[in-house]
Amino acid sequence: MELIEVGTASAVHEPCRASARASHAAARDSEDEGGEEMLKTDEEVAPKRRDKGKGRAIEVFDSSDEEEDDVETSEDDASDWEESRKKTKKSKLAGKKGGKGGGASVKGKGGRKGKDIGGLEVMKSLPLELLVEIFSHLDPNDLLALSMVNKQYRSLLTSPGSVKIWETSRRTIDLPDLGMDEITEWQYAQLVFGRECQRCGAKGVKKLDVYLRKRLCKRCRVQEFADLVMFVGECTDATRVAALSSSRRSTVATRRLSRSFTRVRQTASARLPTPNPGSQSTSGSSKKRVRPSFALRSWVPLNLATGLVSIDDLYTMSNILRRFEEQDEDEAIAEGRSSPPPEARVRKPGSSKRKKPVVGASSKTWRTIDDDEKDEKDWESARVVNYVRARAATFDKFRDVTEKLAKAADTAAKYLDSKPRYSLSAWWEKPQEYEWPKESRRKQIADRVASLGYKRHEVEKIKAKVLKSLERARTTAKEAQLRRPRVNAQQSLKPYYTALKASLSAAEQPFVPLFIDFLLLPSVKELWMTGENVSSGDWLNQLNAIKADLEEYRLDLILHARELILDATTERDEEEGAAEDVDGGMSDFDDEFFSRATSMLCCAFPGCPPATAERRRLFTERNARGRLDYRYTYEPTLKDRQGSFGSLVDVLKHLHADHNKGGYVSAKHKWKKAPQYHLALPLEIACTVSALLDVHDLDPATAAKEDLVCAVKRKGEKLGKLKPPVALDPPCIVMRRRGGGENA
Amino acid sequence: MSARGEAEQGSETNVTLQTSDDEQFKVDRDVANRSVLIRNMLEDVGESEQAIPLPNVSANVLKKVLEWCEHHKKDPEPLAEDLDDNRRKTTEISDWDAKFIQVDQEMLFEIILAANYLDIKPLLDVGCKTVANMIKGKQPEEIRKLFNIVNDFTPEEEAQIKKENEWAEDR
Repeated sequence: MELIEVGTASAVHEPCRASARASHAAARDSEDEGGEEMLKTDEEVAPKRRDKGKGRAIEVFDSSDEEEDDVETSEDDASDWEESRKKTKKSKLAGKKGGKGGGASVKGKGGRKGKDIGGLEVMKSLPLELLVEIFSHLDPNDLLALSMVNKQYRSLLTSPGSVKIWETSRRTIDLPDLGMDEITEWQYAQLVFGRECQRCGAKGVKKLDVYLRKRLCKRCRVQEFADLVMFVGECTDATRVAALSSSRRSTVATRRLSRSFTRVRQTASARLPTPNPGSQSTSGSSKKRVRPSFALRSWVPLNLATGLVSIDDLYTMSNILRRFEEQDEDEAIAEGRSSPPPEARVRKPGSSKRKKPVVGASSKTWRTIDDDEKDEKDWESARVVNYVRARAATFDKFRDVTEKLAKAADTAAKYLDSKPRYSLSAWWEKPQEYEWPKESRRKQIADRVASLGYKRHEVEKIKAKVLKSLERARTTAKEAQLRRPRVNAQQSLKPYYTALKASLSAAEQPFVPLFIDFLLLPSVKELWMTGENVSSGDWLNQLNAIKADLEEYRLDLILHARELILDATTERDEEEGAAEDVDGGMSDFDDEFFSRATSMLCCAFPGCPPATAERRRLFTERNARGRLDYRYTYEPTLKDRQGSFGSLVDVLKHLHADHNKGGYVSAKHKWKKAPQYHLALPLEIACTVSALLDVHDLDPATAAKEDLVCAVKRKGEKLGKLKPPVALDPPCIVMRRRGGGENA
Repeated sequence: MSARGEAEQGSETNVTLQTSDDEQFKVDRDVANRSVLIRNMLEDVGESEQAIPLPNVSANVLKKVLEWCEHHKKDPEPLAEDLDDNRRKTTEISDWDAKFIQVDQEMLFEIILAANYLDIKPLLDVGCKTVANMIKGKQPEEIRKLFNIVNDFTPEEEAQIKKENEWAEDR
């Protein structure tokens, strides 16, 4: 595979050609133990590629230098791309070699023959521009997944040059622009689409805290964020906070927080318009406790609903303050100020301030500042105003981002919900290339079943069933998708059918199947199974085949009718039937046969005769207790069947006249069936016929329809003597019990 | 479909294309014009009896590409401004195209390359969307399988990536 890849790469990227060739050679060397498979691939593919190489020699646009120049001038960040491309190449090769050397990790390659892996393997060797083109059709969630595939993709997708890919894909699902430099596109996507706690990596964390701009599990949330409300009361009592958590990070965080919070408090009190300056200087503890909390509420609008604030945000705040301090310090030195605030003196850049700010000491220091405050009030207030402004700007930005992020998270959640897990439509179309989702599904199912506590052998037993049901689901999905277009195609055939029928002679017409059966003729089925509407060209192409099918249908129909009749008439007398069977061989479907009395048939179209036939009392008998017991029948009588029975041709004509309205076959289970004949010979009819023949001593082999008609007219005379059966509504005789002795 | 006519010499509206394996295809000007590359070449060169060499495309791929061009020869030219936004918004591929692109991965690969080389944007889109559709909704592990990629992250690195959402400021 590597050889293919390198070959292609060199064919496409002139600039990389030389280096690719070198690596090609290197690859060949390292490939010695690579196995037959690799060599085979090489042999298969190499000649083709080499041809390409030759063709390239005469290529018009084949100056490698020019091409590179073109790229660089046309794209703004071409250099970025070039760089990342080179990196990509390198890491690709490195990854490959590593993989092969490892042996254990090449399980996928060993399984290549199974084809369940590597369905898109070739695509790896697409030139970068085209990979990017493909990526631009993906949503951020997919890009996020791609960026975690391996180092190569990660470096590609997190490089500054790939910002455009992310922007495009964001826009396709209407994710807003955050307008923040502090967060990269990748981080944004991860924030919105990620599912893991960003601190401990716990899975399945669905909620993004937009105020905190983090996705955290519950436990981490507690550790990472300080409860502001708690601090309002106890702002200087940092030791208590530190005691809350034993982890080093949160201790540091707490220290940071306590420090910055102290400042917040201090500056807040400085800023608040106090009616009596004296009250401030007295620093009454009760007032101080109230004021900062009020100030904080007005200044830290971030997440007061929950009373939480991000330590990062507080840190940002204190950084702003620190910058001012440093600035002031510089100014102070410049002005030759003799006594800068003691705290500022301690906090020189690069000093140990972060490492060991002793909490107690710091709070003490601040108390000193409180005292100093009086003296340096002017200086302090100017500083504070600046600080407040800068911080307000920061918070505005944060608030803005928060809103956008909330919207984005909402959009993303909706988007994810609307998306199917697997693109079903794609993988049933090409099952041979989509084997692998089955594999992963199998694993999922196995895991799930295992988690239910089944034993291994039990799982094995279930597996087959589960897979089968999956298979079924897939087929169902496939067929559901195709049903509509197929039905449309069926309907588009109707005019052709009508025209075809009209073009046949009157004698042939009845033998054309009904439209719904016509659709099931193999040659016709080919036309509509594609799901595309049938054009006249298609129809004409298929016409001969259709005509052949029609002829076959006609013969089958006649055979079927004959069998029906024989079945009904030979049941009771085998010798006679056998004789007739021999007598009426396959060869002579003569008109004589149809005019015979025995060729009486009924229409068997569903719902014919209509179910309006009344319930009739069939017979009564005394049950065990000596009471009359009525039996009813819903069997249609001949009266009900008026018009739907007679000789074969009559019945066929009736079928065409009354039942040929159906326009399509939508039920998929019917698609596989052969065309139907809709003929039957119900027992009641058969019995009537045979009874008539019998009573009037007619020979079934020679009796004609007229004989039967005569017999019906002479009803009563002989029939009346027979007991039972009972003549009900001549010529119909309903027999006792099914198939009871009609001649008894 | 384009008749492969080495024998019959061209009328004015016909264009002869020569593939990398020296096969010649004669196609309508309309069909050939779907390729911006060929269109530009024709405009530059003018009417010519000579075959246009396409050294990056082999005969079986060109045949497939021309099949697409033939079917889409009457498509209107997309407007420049809605080109970028509209075509990306929808991942759907028309029925005909979906059927057309049902080929093995090597052919799909070649079609994408050829469409890129011949500068047939809509066809390139069809190819890219097809590949993109296969990637969609997959987890990293599934993508690795799909492309047969080895995971070269160490577990620590992988854990680090997931946490990597530190804000850039002041760090």
